[in-house]
Order: sequence, then C-alpha cells, then structure tokens
Amino acid sequence: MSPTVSVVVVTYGRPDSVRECLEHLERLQTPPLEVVVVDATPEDTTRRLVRERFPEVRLLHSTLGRGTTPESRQMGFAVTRGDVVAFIDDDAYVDPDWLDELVAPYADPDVVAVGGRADNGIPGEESEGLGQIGRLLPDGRLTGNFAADPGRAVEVDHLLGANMSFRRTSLDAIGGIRGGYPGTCLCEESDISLRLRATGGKLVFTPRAVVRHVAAPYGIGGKRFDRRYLYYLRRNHVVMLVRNFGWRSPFVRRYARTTLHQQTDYVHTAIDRFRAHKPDGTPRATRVRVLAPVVLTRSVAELAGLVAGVPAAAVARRRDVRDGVATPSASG
Amino acid sequence: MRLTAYVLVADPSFLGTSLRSYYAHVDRIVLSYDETATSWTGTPLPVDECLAVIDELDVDGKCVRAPGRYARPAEAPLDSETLQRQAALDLASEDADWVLQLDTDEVVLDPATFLGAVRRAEGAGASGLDYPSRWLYSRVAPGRYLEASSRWGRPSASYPGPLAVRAGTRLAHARQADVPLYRVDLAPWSTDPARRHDAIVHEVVDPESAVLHFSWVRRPEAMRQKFGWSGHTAHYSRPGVYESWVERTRHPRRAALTSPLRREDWYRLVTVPEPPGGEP
Repeated sequence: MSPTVSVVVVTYGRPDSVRECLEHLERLQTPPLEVVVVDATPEDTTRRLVRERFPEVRLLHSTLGRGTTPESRQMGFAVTRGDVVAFIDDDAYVDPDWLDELVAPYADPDVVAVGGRADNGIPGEESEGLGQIGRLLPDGRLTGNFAADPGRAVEVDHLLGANMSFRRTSLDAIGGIRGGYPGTCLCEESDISLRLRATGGKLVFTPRAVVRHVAAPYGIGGKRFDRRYLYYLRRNHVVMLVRNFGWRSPFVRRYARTTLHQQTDYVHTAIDRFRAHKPDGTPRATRVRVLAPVVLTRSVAELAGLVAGVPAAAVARRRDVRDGVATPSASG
Repeated sequence: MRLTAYVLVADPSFLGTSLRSYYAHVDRIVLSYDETATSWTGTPLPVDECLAVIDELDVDGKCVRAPGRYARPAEAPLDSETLQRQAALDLASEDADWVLQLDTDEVVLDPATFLGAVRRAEGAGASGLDYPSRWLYSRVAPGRYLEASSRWGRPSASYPGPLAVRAGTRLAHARQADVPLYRVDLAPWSTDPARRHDAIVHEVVDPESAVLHFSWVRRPEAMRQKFGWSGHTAHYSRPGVYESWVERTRHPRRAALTSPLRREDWYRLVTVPEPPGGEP
C-alpha cells in the first residue's frame, strides 16, 4: 500500500508564489492526505489568500518572523499525520505526477528520505553535475546539482529543501527539525539530511519527482547572491558541520582550509580587474580598475561568516543537547 | 553487481600480478590482442608469452580470448588504442554492470576498497570511476622506487582514465570517456596535477589502497621496446627521455632531491613492499 503524504509549504512574504504553488498541488494526479501552509509573515496577506482561496489547506501562523524556515518546517511537521512528510518551497511548482514519483522509493524500507529534481529553467542544467548530486565532500563542501537528471534514482548525502520528503517515523526518531540557521537559512535542509544519514538511513534523489523552481526574490531584502548570502553561507555551513560531526571532525578543519583557499580567487579577480588591459589587449575602463578592490568585500563577508560560525556552532550544540536533538555521532 | 574486465595483452611485465589482484572479483576477463602479435605502431609484441602467463593463472576459466587486427602503423597509435579498447569493452560489457579497465602493469593493492568505490560510484549515479594510481617511474633497489609526486614530495595521484566504467560506455580517447565520474583521490583536495586544486573529490583513500602502476618499472631493454609499441611513442621518443630515466634510476636520491628545482617530472623515493613489485 502506498504511504500517505502530508505536504508542508513554508513561506514568508510571497503570496503570489504561494497561490501558484497551491494551485499546482491541486492538480496532482494523486492528492496528498493534507496540505499545510506555515506563514511567518507579520502581514496577513498570504493567510487571507489561503483562507479564502484554499479553505481545505491547514494554515499555521509563525510569529518568529523572517529567517526561520526550519522553525516553520518543524511547526508544520508537528501537525501533520501522513506516513511521509514532504516539504516544498513556496516558489516550487509540482508536476502532476510529483507525489507518485516521490513516494515510489519508500518501497525500500531502508529509505528514510527522498528528494526530487528542481527544474530551474536553465538550459543544459539536466546534464550539469551528474555523478555529483547532493554529496558531502571530504573537504567539507556540499554539492547541489539538484537540477541534474541522471535517469534513475541515486543515493545522496543531502537533499534540496525546495523538494524533499521524509519518512515520518525516521524524522520523529531524531526529534524533528532543528532551527538555528538564520539569515537566508542555508544548510537547514542539509542538517536534517545529515542527521538522518547518521542514523544509517538511506537518502535517495529521484529525478522523476520534478518541481519547477522559479526562485522568487527573497523577502528579506538584497539579491540572492549578495554579501549577506555569502556571510550566511559560511556561517551556517560551519554550524551544520559542527552540529553533525563535532569540533574534532576533519570535515570542520578541512572546510575552514577550503574556504581560506577559495578566497584566492577573489584576490586574482581583483588583480585582473586592476590591470590596464584585458586579456585580448583592449584597454580596461578606469572605473572598472578603480572599483577592482570592491570584489574583496565578498571575501570579507565569507571570512566573517566563517569566524561567526564558531560561536554560533557552540551555542547551537549546547542547545541541541538541552533539547535532546544532538546528532549522536557529533561527540567530538 | 556483475563485474567483468578487459585487458590489452601485449606486455608480460607484471601481467600475472596485475590480473591476480582482481581475478577473484570479476566474472570474466576479455583478453584483447592483435592476432599477428604486432603493435599499433608495427613493432612485434610478445603476445604468446603473455597468453602463457594468463593460461597459468586462469584456474577458473574466466579469461576469454578476443584476437583482432589492431596493428595500424599508418594511424595515430592512440586512435588505434581507443579502437582496440572499445572493441574489448563492448565484449566485456555483455552481461555486466561495470567493466574494469586496468592495464597489465597496474596492480589493485586493496580490492575491497577499490570494489567498494565502484559500488559507491554506481550508487551516486556516476558512469566512470576515477581511482588514484601511484605512478612508479623506476625500481632503484629491492622495495625502493621513484614515484611521481608533487613538487615538494607529497603523494600525487595519476589518472590515465577511469579504471572502471559502466557497461556499454563509449570511450573518447584511450581509456578516457566523457561520462560523469566518481572521483577518488589520495587527499580531500585534488592531488592530480592535471586538475584544479578544488576539483571535486568524492572519496579519499590511503596511498596503500591506491592502484600501483609499474609504468616505467622495466629493464632497460624492455623500456626501449615499450617506447616503441606504446600509444605514447611520439612523446617517449623525444631526445633525452630514455637517458633521463637511466640517469635517475642510477641516482634516485639526487632525482628526488632536485625535484623542486624542475618545472615538471617530480619524484619521491618510496618504499613499496614486494610483492607485488619485484624484479621487472
């Protein structure tokens, strides 16, 4: 018998995306057991829309505000009843057969989590990063490539938050979803995956469970790839590694080393932009040369995030122990 | 997982040691050779000697002879090599999931780790396994070798091509194929001089679990023969290549100590338990 599925959509300040997301969920070939929307926006635009247009959807209001995606996920998870709990982003629009494809790998009792593919509409993305989908690398980095289509289900280390699902019993067993990934909430979904992996469970990426991921703008201001993003990228990554593997894990020090090494790219870019001539011999604009050092502010943001991740990880680990959600393998 | 292998039968050096290192783990080994015992460049090959070695070790009857006509002196040797490998790979792909493609002077030191990496490559959705080889340049004394390294004497992995590929793979150039690779290395950061330092490494193994490639571990007369029949014959035939090998073999410590002063050709002096090595 196919497992029942609860779908949780967490959102902040994107009512138009939520509407389209829910409309796509209505068109599923197999309807889910329930749909839960968790809205963290102070204004009630989204909640009004859901109440009026989608009365069958269960609506929750998080008062925690922006940058609390994992906390919202946990709120949603806590009220669901399905055998499988699926999470999709509010800007991820499911294909009609998404749910059927997503639950198929759960026929294997060892599978604790299944993620699907994100179609970002970028030409060639389906063949980008094949063989490198959702990996935790020995140097501490994570690979994404969740738009790739390897043509079959593959095992992964972590899943994409925009399109992922978990076996309820497995998620219950690790104490649900932990928060503490502020800002752009990077790495919060990887944290869930790595905790489940630490229990010995199998995580699967199936390219047949597709969402169209339109990447709506962030509601917290700034562009997706601004310096704030870079700061939280490094900060949250350190927090995630320490929480899951402990301070003494080689992943942590290797990630620090990798980050430091990657900063040389910014230095080379700044030097290149400062040169009077481009590689093809044409003169470079004075404005470009004067502004060349600005690129180094990206490096400053990354290094600040790396450093800030250390106390943040210490606080998070203490809180995990207190709340009984510490990753067992992270004893170091 | 159904595993097979193919080998190009041409060089008796380390042939028996190489095949024995993975013989127990594969269902079948396709033996590809030129039926006239002639190399891609037209020089004679000791094929009968090689087949005799294989007959002796093939106790389970896993080895399947696949002669063909691969001597094409008018063509680029590497093109002929690709042609022969593809024919062998196609035969080995029958009733197989993955095919090992090791040269006959490459020895799998740790089959469990190597085959585990093949399984993990399959699980990750890759179609080729890049597994690190330790490229041995010369045997300078019993158990002592000059090994290719980084400029400062650190271990450096060599990747002549994926050492295992999914059955049915199309080869692009010699052993290389344009397929998604699962990369195993000797460190968390790429040690392959041909790749960027931050190239993705899926998995790390100790040098003791790498494949040992007795590439230039030969007697002088065998080296001269190899330079003639190899796919890299144009490169090897440059002035000074053979002479440098002879000189460095005679003075290995000097070759290792002066490595940082050279632009390329860096070596370190290492101890490798014998067997699997030994007098070439």
